[in-house]
Amino acid sequence: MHNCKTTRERLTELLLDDIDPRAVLAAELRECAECREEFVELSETLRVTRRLIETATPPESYWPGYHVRLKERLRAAQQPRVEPGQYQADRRRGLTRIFFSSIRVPVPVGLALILLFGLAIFFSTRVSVAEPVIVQVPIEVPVIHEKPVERIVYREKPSRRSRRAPIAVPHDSTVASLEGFKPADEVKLTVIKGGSGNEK
Amino acid sequence: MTDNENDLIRRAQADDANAFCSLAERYARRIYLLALHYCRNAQDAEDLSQEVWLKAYQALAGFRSDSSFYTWLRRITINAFLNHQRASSFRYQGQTTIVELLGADSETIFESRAASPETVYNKVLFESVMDALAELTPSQRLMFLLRHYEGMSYDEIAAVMNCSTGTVKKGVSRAISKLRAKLDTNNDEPERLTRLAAEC
Repeated sequence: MHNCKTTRERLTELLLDDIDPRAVLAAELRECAECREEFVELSETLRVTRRLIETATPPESYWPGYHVRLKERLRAAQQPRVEPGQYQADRRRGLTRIFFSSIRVPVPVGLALILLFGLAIFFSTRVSVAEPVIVQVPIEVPVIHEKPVERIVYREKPSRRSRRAPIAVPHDSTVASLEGFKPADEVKLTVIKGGSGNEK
Repeated sequence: MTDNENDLIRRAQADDANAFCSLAERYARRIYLLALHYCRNAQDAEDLSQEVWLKAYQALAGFRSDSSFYTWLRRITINAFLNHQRASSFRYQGQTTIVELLGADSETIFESRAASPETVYNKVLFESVMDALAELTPSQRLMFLLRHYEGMSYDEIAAVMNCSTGTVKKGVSRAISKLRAKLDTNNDEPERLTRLAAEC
């Protein structure tokens, strides 16, 4: 059964393969006027296109110059032979080239890299400038409470003798002076008026 | 591959630039035409085709005669075209105008400089083909050229361009549709030819 779509696709393939469709699709082309018209238009289009592609050649005078330019480019592209003594110089040149060479980067990629670099610098400086966080933690510190202790010390008044001969003070003088001491309940006081120094 | 070609290849592999240039002279027109229809500018076509030869010269040591020299060269050509497409845009992106084609640029493309009716007609057709190709993506343009001009199969193109066979079929079909629309016999072609003949 005839199918126009299939026939047209087949027509295109045959024409592109340089096969005459009239030999292969004779029945289809005989039966269908639309496919016949399609065949004529398509074959004419492809014939004209091919002829133009093939004839749109530069004149013969163009080619000697073309080949001269090609030879120059080939000569320029040929790798220079490395002489034994040139190795060090070439190595130095290579190192210099590493530092001074440039690479081609697409604009969007370059912009993205610059943006990333800027953001990294921004955040790194921001972290260093930020104030430290103060956390208050109560810590118990032992405090020594000093309690003043008062003590009354009574000492025996030294007599004249004892004043002459100093009493040997024991090592713990405060304890020694308090032992055996009893304060008197009464004190007898005699007052002598007008007397001399030796009268009672 | 003839013995002469084998001999040239061997000598070129032994770093004989003259032998390589002899090889280049054999296929330069074919590669140039592919480049011309791919980038639609004579100067870009020369740069791109010479870039192909430089790459081929550098990679020639790896050629093992598993395939024909031209098949190997065509693979390098396609890779160079695709890399060129990724790396930069062609200097000429717009549609080709008849004024440009009739100027100095067209004289490098068409062999005859005389403004005979046939030449003018060819130039008008060439303009139409270029306009149709300009409306395609570079990949679709390359798919069409490889299928129609180089006679490669869909599978071969898909393999070398690293895409599916369906994508290649769509690209070629789209190119043919554009060309049919531009080269439509019902358009105002006779009027344009009359006008251009008068201008010349």
